[in-house]
Amino acid sequence: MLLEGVKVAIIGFSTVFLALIILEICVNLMSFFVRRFEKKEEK
Amino acid sequence: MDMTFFEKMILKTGIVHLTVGHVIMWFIGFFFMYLAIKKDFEPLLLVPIGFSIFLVNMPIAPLTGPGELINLFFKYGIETEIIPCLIFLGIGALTDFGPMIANPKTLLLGASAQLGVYVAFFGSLLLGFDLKEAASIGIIGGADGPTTIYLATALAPHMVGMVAVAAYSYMSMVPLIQPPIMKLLTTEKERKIRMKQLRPVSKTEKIVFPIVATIVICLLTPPAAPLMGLFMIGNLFRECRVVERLLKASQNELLNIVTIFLGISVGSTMKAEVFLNPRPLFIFFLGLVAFAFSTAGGLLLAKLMNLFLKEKINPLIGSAGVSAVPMAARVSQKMGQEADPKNFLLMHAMGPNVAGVIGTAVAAGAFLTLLK
Repeated sequence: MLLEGVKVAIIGFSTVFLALIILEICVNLMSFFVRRFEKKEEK
Repeated sequence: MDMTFFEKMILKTGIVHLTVGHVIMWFIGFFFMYLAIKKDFEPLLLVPIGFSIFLVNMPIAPLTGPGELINLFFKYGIETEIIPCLIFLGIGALTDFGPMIANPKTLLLGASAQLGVYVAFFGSLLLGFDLKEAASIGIIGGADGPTTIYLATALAPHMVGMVAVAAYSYMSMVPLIQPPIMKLLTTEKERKIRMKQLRPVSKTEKIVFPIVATIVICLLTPPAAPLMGLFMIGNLFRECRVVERLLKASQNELLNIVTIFLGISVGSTMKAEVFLNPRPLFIFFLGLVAFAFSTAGGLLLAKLMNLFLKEKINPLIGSAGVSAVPMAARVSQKMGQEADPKNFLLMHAMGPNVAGVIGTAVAAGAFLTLLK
């Protein structure tokens, strides 16, 4: 069971990091496009 | 005839069924009420939880048996996982993601502050808990009550009360638990780091964010969708500014009503026959370990990031990644001002703080994917 626990912990923690890294990239992209769109609208 | 009737009456009073265990549980209930009323520790939860502990330990009272009042609250509110999700709707309606959108790097601090979840998970396995129970204990480290209840209900329903009470107790003690760890792991110079003012975030960014976050999180960890989905609907109510009535209902009436049912239901699981054994002590101990490691995880990643970043971040904001919104962010602010009274970290710390809520929901989703 301990070995299985180690696997669950490693996969789980990696998933958390992966999800939040992907979310970080998406937030950066979202901000980039939204701000570009808003600048265009201002013009 | 009269004597039999009298005997019956006596036997049907609670007094003859009262045990030492019941009285001990009353005092535990009183202790939670004391913490809430006198010390102002999470009163909105600890008052109903404390009173419910006291109430359900009234012998032979028809409260928690099948079909009885509090049993129905628990069955339809907690077992169905409706209440934790509705709480998330209310929290979403109260949350401002602006500081996180302005500085998305703080999402990583929210991720690293889940370290304690996995340390406590592993510690629980070493102490003899099975995988599902260990996950329910580990999630306490996320410092997020509704997520803890959501996961424990799905994986180890017999432990919901204990892990929820441990989570809320430690959340209320964040100002006591975190500062010594923060001081231990940072230098005076690091605590004095001033951060650049955050850029303003536009209304459109704030409206698009809940949609982007829902897509990312729900596609990666579908079991987290009920929590994240309602969290983000609540946030969209807040940011779109066209559903004021729904927003107010989510922030006030709905959140307050479900908080009452949550508190009563959680407290009702702490009956003497379930609670009075060594296991809850292990759970409380492991919860503390989880909190300590989660605080350390956020701080240490912030220090690591500083090795590569041109604009340094104050490591004190890392500890706010343990959710506990907004108390953990306030602790970062207070510690920062102790080192430099003109340093304002609150808004910077709100980034990892709300990122921690997402991180904990993802951690719960990952456990559900792997263990359910």
